Amino acid sequence: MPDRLEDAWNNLPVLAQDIAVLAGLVAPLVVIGLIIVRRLNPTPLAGAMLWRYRFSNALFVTLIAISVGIGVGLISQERALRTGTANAADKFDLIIAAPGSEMTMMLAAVYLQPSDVPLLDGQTYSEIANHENVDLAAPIAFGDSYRGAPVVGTTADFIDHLTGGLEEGEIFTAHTHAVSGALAPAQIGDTFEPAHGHGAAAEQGAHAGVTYEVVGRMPPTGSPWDRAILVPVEAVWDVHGLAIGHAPERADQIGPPFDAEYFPGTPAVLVRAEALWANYSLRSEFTRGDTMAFFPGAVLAQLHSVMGDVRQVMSIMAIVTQILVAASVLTGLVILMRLFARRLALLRALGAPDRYVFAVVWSYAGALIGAGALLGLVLGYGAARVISRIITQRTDILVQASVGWPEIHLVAGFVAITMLLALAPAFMVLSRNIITDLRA
Amino acid sequence: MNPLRHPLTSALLAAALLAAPALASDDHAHHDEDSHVAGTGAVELVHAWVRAGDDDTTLLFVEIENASDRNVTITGGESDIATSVELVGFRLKDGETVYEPLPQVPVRAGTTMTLAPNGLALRLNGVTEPMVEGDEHEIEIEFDFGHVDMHFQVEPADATRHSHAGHQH
Amino acid sequence: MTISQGLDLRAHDVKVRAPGGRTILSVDHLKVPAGTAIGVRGPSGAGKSTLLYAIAGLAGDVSGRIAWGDTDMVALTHGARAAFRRSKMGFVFQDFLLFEELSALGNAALAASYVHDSGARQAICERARQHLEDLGLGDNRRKVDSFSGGERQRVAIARALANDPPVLLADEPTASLDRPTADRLVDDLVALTRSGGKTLVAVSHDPALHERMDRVIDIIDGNLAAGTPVHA
Repeated sequence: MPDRLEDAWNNLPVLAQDIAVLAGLVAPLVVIGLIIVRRLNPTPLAGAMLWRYRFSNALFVTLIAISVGIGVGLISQERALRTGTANAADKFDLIIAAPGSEMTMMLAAVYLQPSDVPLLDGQTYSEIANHENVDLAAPIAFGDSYRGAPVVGTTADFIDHLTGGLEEGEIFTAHTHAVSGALAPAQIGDTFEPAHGHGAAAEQGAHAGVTYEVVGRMPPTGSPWDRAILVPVEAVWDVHGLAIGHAPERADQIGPPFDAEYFPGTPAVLVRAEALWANYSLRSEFTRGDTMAFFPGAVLAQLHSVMGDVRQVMSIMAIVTQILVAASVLTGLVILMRLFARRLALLRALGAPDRYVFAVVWSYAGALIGAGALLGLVLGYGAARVISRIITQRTDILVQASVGWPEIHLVAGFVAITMLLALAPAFMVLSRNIITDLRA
Repeated sequence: MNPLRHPLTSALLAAALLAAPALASDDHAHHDEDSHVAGTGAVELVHAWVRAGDDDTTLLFVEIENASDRNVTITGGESDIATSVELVGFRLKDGETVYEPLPQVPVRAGTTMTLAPNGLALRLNGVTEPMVEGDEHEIEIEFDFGHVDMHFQVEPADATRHSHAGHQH
Repeated sequence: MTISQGLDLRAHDVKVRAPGGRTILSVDHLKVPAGTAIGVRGPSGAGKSTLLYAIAGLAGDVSGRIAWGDTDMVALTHGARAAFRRSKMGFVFQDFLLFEELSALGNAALAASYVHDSGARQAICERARQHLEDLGLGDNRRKVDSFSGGERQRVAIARALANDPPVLLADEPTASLDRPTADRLVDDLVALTRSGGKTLVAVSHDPALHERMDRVIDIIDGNLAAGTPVHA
């Protein structure tokens, strides 16, 4: 029977599971709330208590909001980073490069973080490009820059693969043409001279006399490629005084096929296979002494799993914080109950049912906890949005924070637990001596 | 590297000699190895392993060396400790790791296909017992030419490869 | 507006003990006929308030018999005593004990928020509004934190009468008020009690209040003084 239950659970759609978890967290509260408040009206008095100690109450709500906000922000931000970096790498099915660090190569080829890496030679490139399972083998030749934007040599097919078509203008058809990314510092019609290298180390004037003209513009991709300027890979070779990938009689050709003898080398090749299995097979085949083949997604997943460990530590910390906050909320409620003791004793003296006194105290606690939790959700989401925007600005990786089910479950769990804990001070009120409190 | 010479290598070298294509299309519903003793080479499977854990599913990794002169296709498997075994491939989908089922994957003649974490794997679904580090279990891996029985070893929960992989034998 | 008849009180062999076990009040025999107004007098700490709490069913350790009509408070459970107070008793305290954040009507009709029956709820609100008007507090939307002491105590009276109880218990109702205000309040309290035929027990130091009662009993050292004089 448990197995069948488990199977039934696993067969539910994810959304239904999420909703069921939420309902499971909230249902006990609804049931308890209905039992406690049924046919009573604790709102005016709970409201009076909230208003009378509004500054202490506001402090409480803030405390809860900050602790919930930290948890929500952490989870939301982590997911935003994970999906953002993954989406930016989405088009990079398989990278083949000279042996070295997969991480370095991924950062260089996918996220355009420049590094000095060895090159793949023409023979190897031909072997890849001519492999029966390969549908796209695009050289990615990075190293130059213009005003901080990477200038990357590649092929028209790659641009088509990356963007699904240009936003405006045309694809490059000559050595002097360039296509700019959506956020690149060059517009259609601009001409510019590339610098050798990157950042502070870029050598201005190393490529003196070479100019490109921007002839097309890519749509936004949510990746660092938005900042890049793409040129024919032949032009990059040409600028560096190397062979240009084609035999002299085809010197003006742009794009594949390349001649292995005139192929000076490329730091990385993006490979795409139409058949799903072929990518795995190619990865296996080109993992060998002279080549390294990897899925950027797999490297990211490893990175994410490291992040996941950090996330676990942080979420344990977040949970511990929330337990501490729940405990201090409880302590605070007990203290506040002393402030309210005389009025609650009055209610009991007048003959109000215990359930009513209980309902007033619990509704009051519920208002504080609920307001704090909601505010925390908003705060956490807001913080994640701000941080995501800053990350996007700095890295060009589109990072978008959202409110997801894990955060909603976290908040619901926090509310459920603290509301259950809040039953304790409500019970404690009922055990107080009415006469003593009345005379206080 | 010859795994046969390593005494601790749990993985069985299964010398499934290949039938000629004409023979492979015979009417045997379940091929057994004897009926395919033909051809010129062998398919060797070594270093089969899974990670320790008590999840409902586990991923099995293995190196498949096709030393024969024809392409073979891996299609799935069977095991006594799992309700089903299927071939799956890693994908990063919206930042989440997922393993999607693949109907079959060819291993070209003369090449080695490595089923490894974050790549290809055989997924054991409905695993009936916890995978305890150091234990060994059996699996039957299915190919287009028949199936290969072998042992696999349970490695630590955070292992990234077989503990004997990469040893010089 | 319905008018409930007062209840009579008969108490026998009542002993109220402090948590330590010491007897702080003993009443051999006390009878308050329905519809009469009784003042309770005595030095501070003699046990006046204890008597009031005991007959309200609020004192903890009580033995003997305290019967309002046929109902023995001592024999009731905690919940039943609360229910009895809810339906049969109204209270007025020395320092008003109002909810400052609520309006006069909100305070006077407090019981409406814990009465289950919607008809009773409406009746409570209606009576609270009527009493406030009778007591000169027709503008009852203001929060009571802006009220004077006399106004507050009149709100407390309206609250005590809102559920039309047969019994009214008052603990030093004039002690926090200046003389003219106290006099006016006593007028109001007595008038409303008598017109409603209610039984009133008022603990007080205030001779002016005692004068208006049908009878005054003295409590000295935790005992009902013998030969309690009738009113002056």
